[in-house]
Amino acid sequence: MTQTAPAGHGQSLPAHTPRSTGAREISRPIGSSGLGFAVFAVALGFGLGLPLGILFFEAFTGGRLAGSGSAGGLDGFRLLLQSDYYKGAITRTLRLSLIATAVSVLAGYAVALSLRERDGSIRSGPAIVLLLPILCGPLVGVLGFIASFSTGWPGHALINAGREFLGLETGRVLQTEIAVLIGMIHFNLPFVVLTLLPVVSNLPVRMLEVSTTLGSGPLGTFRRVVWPLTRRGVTASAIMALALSLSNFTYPQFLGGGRVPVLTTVVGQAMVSFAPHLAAAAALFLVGLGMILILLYGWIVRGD
Amino acid sequence: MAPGNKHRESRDARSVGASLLRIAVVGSAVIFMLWPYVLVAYQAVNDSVSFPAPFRGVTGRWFVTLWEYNPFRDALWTSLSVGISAAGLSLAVSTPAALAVARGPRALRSSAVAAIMSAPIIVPQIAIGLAILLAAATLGVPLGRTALIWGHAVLITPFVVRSMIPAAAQVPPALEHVGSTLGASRLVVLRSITMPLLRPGLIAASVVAFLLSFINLPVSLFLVSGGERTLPIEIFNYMTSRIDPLVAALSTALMVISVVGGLLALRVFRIRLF
Repeated sequence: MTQTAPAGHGQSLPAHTPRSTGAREISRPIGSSGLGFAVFAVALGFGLGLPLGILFFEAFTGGRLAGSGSAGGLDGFRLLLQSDYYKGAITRTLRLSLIATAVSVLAGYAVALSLRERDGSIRSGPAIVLLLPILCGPLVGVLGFIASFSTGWPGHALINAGREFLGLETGRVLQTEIAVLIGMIHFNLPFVVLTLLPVVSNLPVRMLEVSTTLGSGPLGTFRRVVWPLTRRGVTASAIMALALSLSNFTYPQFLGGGRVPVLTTVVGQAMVSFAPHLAAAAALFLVGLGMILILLYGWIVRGD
Repeated sequence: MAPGNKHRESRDARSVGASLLRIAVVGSAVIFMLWPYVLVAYQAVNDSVSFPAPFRGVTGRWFVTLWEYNPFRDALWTSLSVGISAAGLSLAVSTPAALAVARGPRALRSSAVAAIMSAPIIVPQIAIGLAILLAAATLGVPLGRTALIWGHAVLITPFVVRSMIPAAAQVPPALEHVGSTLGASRLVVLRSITMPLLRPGLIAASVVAFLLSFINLPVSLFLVSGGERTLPIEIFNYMTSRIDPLVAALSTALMVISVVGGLLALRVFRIRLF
């Protein structure tokens, strides 16, 4: 009987030949090559990049593709920037969007903080109510506001009471900027709150307790602890609210009608009037504003 | 009164004040959010032909009329088929991308890649709709169902991929390795191990994708054809010419279905929003 001497005694061990089991080794996990992202990028390039390129071409060649019969070139942009009506639509878009954003973020921040329990959990009942506009879509909300702002209805009475209090002229509420503004805020609020809820629920409970123990009142705790920890989330929600306000179509269309034109309704009107060069120019203006927002957010985040 | 008691009393008073303030803030927000929907539901069962109208009695006739109104029924089928197709297309493209981001090179987890994936969210929806209309006209793609599926798939893809990435990150590569060690091919591993583990994320993403497509209006505005319109577009067209309790009945039905369906999906599939 032969024995294989252990290694280290000058004798070589018989070479171990691994027995083939037929198993196939996956050298990398599925998806780790990154090819899936390449497919996604190509699909997005075709799905969105190509259409946006055509939109660019349409805007800068005066509607050549759609054959709108314009003079060509930058006709759409010229009309947008020289006509008082369209210039008013641009400034109104920016004004209403900024006001709607400011109010949505302030209100949404207060609501998110109020929904937070002491232990950081979130009161889900009221939070789910906030999902309604997201679940039902904007048309249902618009219909409700049309009813509410009609003469003799509570919304109409409330707005006019506020106008009287501020010494302003009372009257129609529908097809005014105030109706569009309230609609925009109603649409933005759930998104703002849903963005801020994870931020406020992650506030460290101990830090808040320590602040109170050391004698800081609610305002001091907010200024020194809550605000610094939530500032980035508030900025993100503000950028999102501004993007939603700028691109809001349904509320201005129905609550503002022809009397409160904004850029999104200008796009719609231009297509109905067979002026695709103008529609393309207005749409690109909106895209440009969206790009500025991203850059602004990136700059603010880097600054932090 | 001892100083300790005074301090405790003022702290209790502040605590009561803070609680009342919180109730006031949340209560005001709930009323502000709910008020338009309550009004719509009220008008849908109000026995009157005008909108809005004071209370004249309860009736269900508008829901009966709704069921018999063909344009809304046809539009509902279009919305359902477009929603399902767009969600499917979006999932097919987003799932491999999510796996790539979760498991691939670190560069895929950069903010630049996140920005690319979020591009359709940043572009205003009406601009997306117009751009796809021009592209469809240039490329000879018919308007209606095909163009709608295109537009909706583009719109919902960022939301789908965002919900799939965490789901993909939770699938342990070690289980795939075990499968391959036991002799399974890559395809079998994908079918028997990876996809079943991804299923909860896939279902949650499908629900979100379908809902976003179903309620969409701005992207659909330019992509519909005479015979193929989505339900929001049909409602939009109806409201442009007249507003009556019929559209309130439809809106109420949509509200109930969306809310019940959405909440059920959240509970059954344990989708956490917060």
